[in-house]
Amino acid sequence: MVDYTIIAFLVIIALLCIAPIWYTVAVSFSEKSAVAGGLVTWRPVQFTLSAYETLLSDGSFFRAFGVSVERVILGGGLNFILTVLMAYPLSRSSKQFKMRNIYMWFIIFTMLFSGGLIPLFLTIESYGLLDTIWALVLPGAVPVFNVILLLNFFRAIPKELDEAADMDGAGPWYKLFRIYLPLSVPALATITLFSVVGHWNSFFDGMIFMTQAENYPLQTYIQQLVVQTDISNLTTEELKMIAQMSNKTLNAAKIVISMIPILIVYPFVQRYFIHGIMLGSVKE
Amino acid sequence: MKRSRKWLMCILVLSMLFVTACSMFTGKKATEQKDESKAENSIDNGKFKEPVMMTIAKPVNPQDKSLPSGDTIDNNILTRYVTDKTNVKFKATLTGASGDSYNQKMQVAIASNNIPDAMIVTEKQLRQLVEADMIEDLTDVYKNYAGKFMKDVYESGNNRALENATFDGKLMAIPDSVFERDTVSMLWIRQDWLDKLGLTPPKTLDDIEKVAKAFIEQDPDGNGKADTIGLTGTPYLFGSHGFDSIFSAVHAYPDFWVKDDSGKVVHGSVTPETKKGLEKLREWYKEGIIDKEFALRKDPNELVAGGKAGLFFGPWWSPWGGPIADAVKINPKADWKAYTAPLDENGEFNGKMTNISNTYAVVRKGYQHPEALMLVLNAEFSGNFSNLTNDLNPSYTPVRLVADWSDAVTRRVKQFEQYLDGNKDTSQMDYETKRLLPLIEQYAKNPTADLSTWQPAHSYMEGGKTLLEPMNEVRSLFYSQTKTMEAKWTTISKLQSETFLKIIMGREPVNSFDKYVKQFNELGGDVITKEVEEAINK
Amino acid sequence: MKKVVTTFDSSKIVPNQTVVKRPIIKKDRNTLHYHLMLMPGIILLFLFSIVPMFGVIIAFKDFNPGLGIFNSEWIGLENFRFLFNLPDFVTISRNTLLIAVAKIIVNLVVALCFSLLLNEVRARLFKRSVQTIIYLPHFLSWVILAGIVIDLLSVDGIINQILIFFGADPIMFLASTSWFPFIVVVSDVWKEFGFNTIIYLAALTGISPVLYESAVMDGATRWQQIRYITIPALKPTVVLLATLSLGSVLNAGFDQIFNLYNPIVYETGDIIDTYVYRAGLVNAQFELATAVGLLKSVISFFLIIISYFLASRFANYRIF
Repeated sequence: MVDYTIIAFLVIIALLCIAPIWYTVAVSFSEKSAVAGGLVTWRPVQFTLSAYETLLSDGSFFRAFGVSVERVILGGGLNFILTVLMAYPLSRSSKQFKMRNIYMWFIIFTMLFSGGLIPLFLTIESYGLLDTIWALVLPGAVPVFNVILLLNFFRAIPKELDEAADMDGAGPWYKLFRIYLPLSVPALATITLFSVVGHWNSFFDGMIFMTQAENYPLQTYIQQLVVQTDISNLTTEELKMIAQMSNKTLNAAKIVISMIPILIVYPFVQRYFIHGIMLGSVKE
Repeated sequence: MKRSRKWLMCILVLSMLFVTACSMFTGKKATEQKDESKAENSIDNGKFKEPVMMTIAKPVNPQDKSLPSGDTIDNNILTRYVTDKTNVKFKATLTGASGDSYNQKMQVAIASNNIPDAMIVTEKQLRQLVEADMIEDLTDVYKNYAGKFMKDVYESGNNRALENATFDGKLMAIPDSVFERDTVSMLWIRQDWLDKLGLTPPKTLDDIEKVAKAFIEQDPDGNGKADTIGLTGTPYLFGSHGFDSIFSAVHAYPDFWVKDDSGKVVHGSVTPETKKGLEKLREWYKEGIIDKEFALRKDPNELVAGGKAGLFFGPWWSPWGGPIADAVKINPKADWKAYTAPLDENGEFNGKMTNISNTYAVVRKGYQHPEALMLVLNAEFSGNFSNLTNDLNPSYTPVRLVADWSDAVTRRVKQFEQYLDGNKDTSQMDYETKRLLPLIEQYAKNPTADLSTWQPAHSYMEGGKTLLEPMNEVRSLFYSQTKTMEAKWTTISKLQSETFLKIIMGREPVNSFDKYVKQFNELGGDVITKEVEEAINK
Repeated sequence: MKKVVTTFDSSKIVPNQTVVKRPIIKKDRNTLHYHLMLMPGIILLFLFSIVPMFGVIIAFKDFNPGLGIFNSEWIGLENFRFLFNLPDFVTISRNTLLIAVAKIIVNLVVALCFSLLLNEVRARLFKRSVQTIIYLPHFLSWVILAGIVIDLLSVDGIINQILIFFGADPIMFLASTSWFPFIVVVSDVWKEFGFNTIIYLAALTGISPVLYESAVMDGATRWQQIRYITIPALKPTVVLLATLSLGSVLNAGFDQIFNLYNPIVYETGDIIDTYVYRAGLVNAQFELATAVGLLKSVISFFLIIISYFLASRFANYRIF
C-alpha cells in the first residue's frame, strides 16, 4: 500500500516535470504563427520541422557541434582531472597536510569573488586566448563546487582503508588512484554529469570570447539564431529582418537540442549509482 | 627561515601579478592610438589616393542567406562598391547577431576600450563614448565632406538630428534620420468584427468604449464562447499595446517633456492631464473594457494573433513587425484596419512623434582618417548603391546609417497612390520606394495573395495611409538624459510604473497620483526638470 | 661551559630528532605530493580568477573606459553610498534575501524528501526514468517556463478553474504581492530540485546495505530505517549543500523574476538584480554592477565562514 502511494506520488511529480518539456517539444514542432497566437497547448499545431531545419540548415550547425564536442571533451576532461587532483589533498585533515586550510579558503574565495565580465575579458585578451577553445575551457577549469562535493565523498571513505594502505607503504598517488577513485564512482559520475552538462549548455562565454562566428560552440550558435529582440527600438528596415524570425519555436527547438546530451549521458551515469561498492572493498 | 622564504615567494608572485594586471587594465589603447602617423593621403572626388583600412562593427542576421558563397561580411558586393568609390577597405572586428548578443558585445567592446574604427551606436552608447572621450570630433569632417543628400535629409527634419549628435558645440557623430511618425500609436480594429456587429469605426473615447463592450459581449468571433476581450494593454503602459493615444486624447503626454499652460517645462507624467488619463483608464479597467490581465502579459501580441482581441494600439508597421501578420496567417478572414483615434474634445488627433535620430555613426578617437566615415556614407547614399541591395540584404552595408526623410512613409504612400492612379512617373521616387512598388501593385490587385508581400504593403497602404490623416504632431522637448537622471531615474520610473498600474487596476485611489507627484520632486524630479529646462534653452 | 651546552644540546636533540624525524620526513614527502597535486589547479585559479579580480576596484571608481580601469578616478565608497541611499534599497534587499533564503530551504527539503522516496522504490527502470525526468526542467529557460507559469495561473488558467470548481473566487496570482514570492519559490523548486536530488542519490549509494539488513533483522520498520540510518547518513550532505548554497544567498534568480514580475508586485518581487538591470537600461553602470557583485560576495563569504565555524563547533563537522 505504502509502495503504491509512493509510486503514485512520484508519478504525479514526474508528470509535473515532464509537462513543460512536453509543451516545449510541441512548440518546437509547431507552425510559428500558431505559437505566436498562443494556440499550442499539448500537441504540435500544424506540424512542421522548420525550426529544426533553420537550426540545421547549413554547415554552421555541424561546425558549432564540433566545437562543442571538443569543448566538452577538453573541458570535461580537464574538470575531471583537476577535481580529482584537488579533492584528494584537500580531503586530508589539517594535521596530515598543514597548508590545507590555506588552500581551501583560497579556492572558496575564488568561488565567491569575481572581478566581473570586463576584467575577465581583458585578462583573456591579454593572454591571447580570444578565439581559441582555451578561452572556453581554462577559466572554468577548476569547478570548486565539484571539488568540495568530491572531497566530502573522499572523507566519508572509512579511515581504516587509508591506514591499511599506509601500513603497506602506499604513497598519495597510489592511494588516490587505487583506493579513493574506485570507491567514489557514484560521486565521480555525478560531478562528470554536472561538468559535461555545464560545458554543453553554456553560451555566454562563447559569445563574448569568440570574435569569429566560426568558433562559436553549439549553444552560442543557436543562441544567435533565437536572440530576443526589443522590437520597440528597431527601425523599419530592421523590422523586415525580424518579421521573418520567430523566437518561440526556435527557442523551443534549441532547448530540445540542449537536452539531448543529458538524455544520452544520464542513463550511462546511472549505471554507476550502485549501492555498496564501499562494502565490497572493505571486505577485500 | 623556510617560512620567510615562502612569504617572500608569495609577495614576489603577487607583485608580479599586480604588475601584469596593471598593464592589462590601464588604458593601453590611449597610447597606441596616438602613434599612428597622420600620413598625408589626398582625397580626390570622394576617393582616397592611397588605400585606407577601416575596422567596423557589424550586427548580422544569422538567418540571412543572401550572401553568396565566397563573400564575407567585410568583402561583398556592397563593400566592394564602397571601396571602389572611396578606396576605403573594411574589416569587421566586432560581429554578433543583431539584438541582445550584438549589444552585449558592443558593451564589452566599449567598456574594455576595444572599439573598431567606425561603428553605429545607440544614443546611450554615444553619451557613454563622449563622456569617456573615446570618439573623434566630426565637426570639420561633416563641414568639409558631407554630401548633398545627407544635408537634405537632415534639412527635412530641421537639422534636429544634427543637434542630437552635438555635444558642447561639437558634432561627435553622424546621426541617422528616421520617419518621425514611426511610433504614433494608432487604433487597429478588426473591421470584419465591426461589420458583423453593425458598428461604425470609433472616433472618440466613448466610441471606443462602445466598440470594446460589443466585442466583449456580442461574441464577434462567433464561437459561442465569451472568450473575446476588449482592448489589449501592456504592463509598460506605453509603446506597442500602450495607452499613449488615450492619454493624448486628454492632452496628457506621460514620459515626454512638455510645456505647461504657463510655459514652464514639466515632465508629462506629473501633469493634471495625466491624472485625468489615468482616471479614464481606471474606469475602463473596472468596467472590463481593458484586458483584466494586461499587467501580467509578457506578450500581448498573442491575443491579437490568436483572435482573442479585436482592438489594440500599435504603430503603422504592426502588420509587418507586429502581431497582425500572424493573426492573418491563422485566420485569413481577420481584416485589420487602422484609425487615428481617439480624438480629443476638439475632434483632433494628437500623435506622439519619435526622436528623429536614434542611432549614430562614430569614429574611434585616434583613427587616422576620420573623414573616411563621411566618404563612405556619401558613397552609400550615391548612384546605384541601393540597387545592389536587390541582391544582398542591406544590413551588409559597411557602415549602415539609416537616412530617411522625416516624412518618409507618408511621402511614399502619396507616391504609391499617384502611381496606382495612373501617374507612372517614378523619377521622384527614392530607392526604397521603387523597391516596394511591385509589392504595392500586387497588393492593389490581390491583397492577400502572398503574405510576405502583404506584410509591407498593408503596413504602408493601411497603416501608412492612416498617418496621412490630419494630426497634431507632439514632440518631446528633450529626448536625451541629464546627469541627475542617470543617477535617479531608475527610482523615479519604478515609482511611476508602480503607481500608474495600481491606480488603473484600482489597487490605489486616484488621489495617490498627487502623492506620486510630490515624491517625484523629492526623488530628484525637480532637479532633473531644471536640468532639462537648461538643456532646452541652451 | 660552552662544551657542556653543546654536548648537552646535541645529546638532547639528536635522539629526539631521530624519533620524530621519520614521520616528519614521511609527512613532508606526502605534503610535497599534495602540493604537486594542487599545483595545476591553483595556477589556473590564479590566472583566471585572481588576476581578473583586480577588476573589483571598478567598484571604488568612476569608471571611464577611455582611461581604463587603473586610470579611472577613485571615488572611494561613493558607489556603495549611492546603493545604500537608494530609496528602494531596503525593499529590494529584503525581497532578495527573503526569496533567496526561502528557495535555498525549500529546494533542500524537497530534494531530500524526494530522494528518500525514490530510494524506497524497488522497480529499477521506474526509478531511473523518474530520476532523469525530474532533472529535465533544469534545462528549460525561464522565458519558456515563465510563460507556462503565467498561463497556468491566469484568470482562466487551470489553477483558477479548479478554484472556481470548488466555489472560490479566481485569484490573479501574479498581480498579488502576497502570492508572488510564493510562486517564485515554488516554480524555482519545480525547475531545480532535480539537481540536488542527484547529489543526494549519489550520497545514498554510500550507505552500506548491511546496515539496513541488520536493521531489518532487528525488526525495524521502514520509517525507523529512514529515521535512524538514511537521514543521519545524509546529514553531512545536507549541511554541505546548505552551506554552499549560502554562496547564492543574495541571488534570488534574475532570469526567473525578470520573466515573471510586473510593476504591481515590485513591492515584494523587485530584487537587487532586477533593479540594477533597470538602472543599466538608463545608463550603463559598470561601477554599480561591480559594487553590487562585490557586496554580495563579501556577505556570502562571511556567511559561509560563520556557518563553517558553527558547524565545526556545534556539530563537530567540517564542511570543507
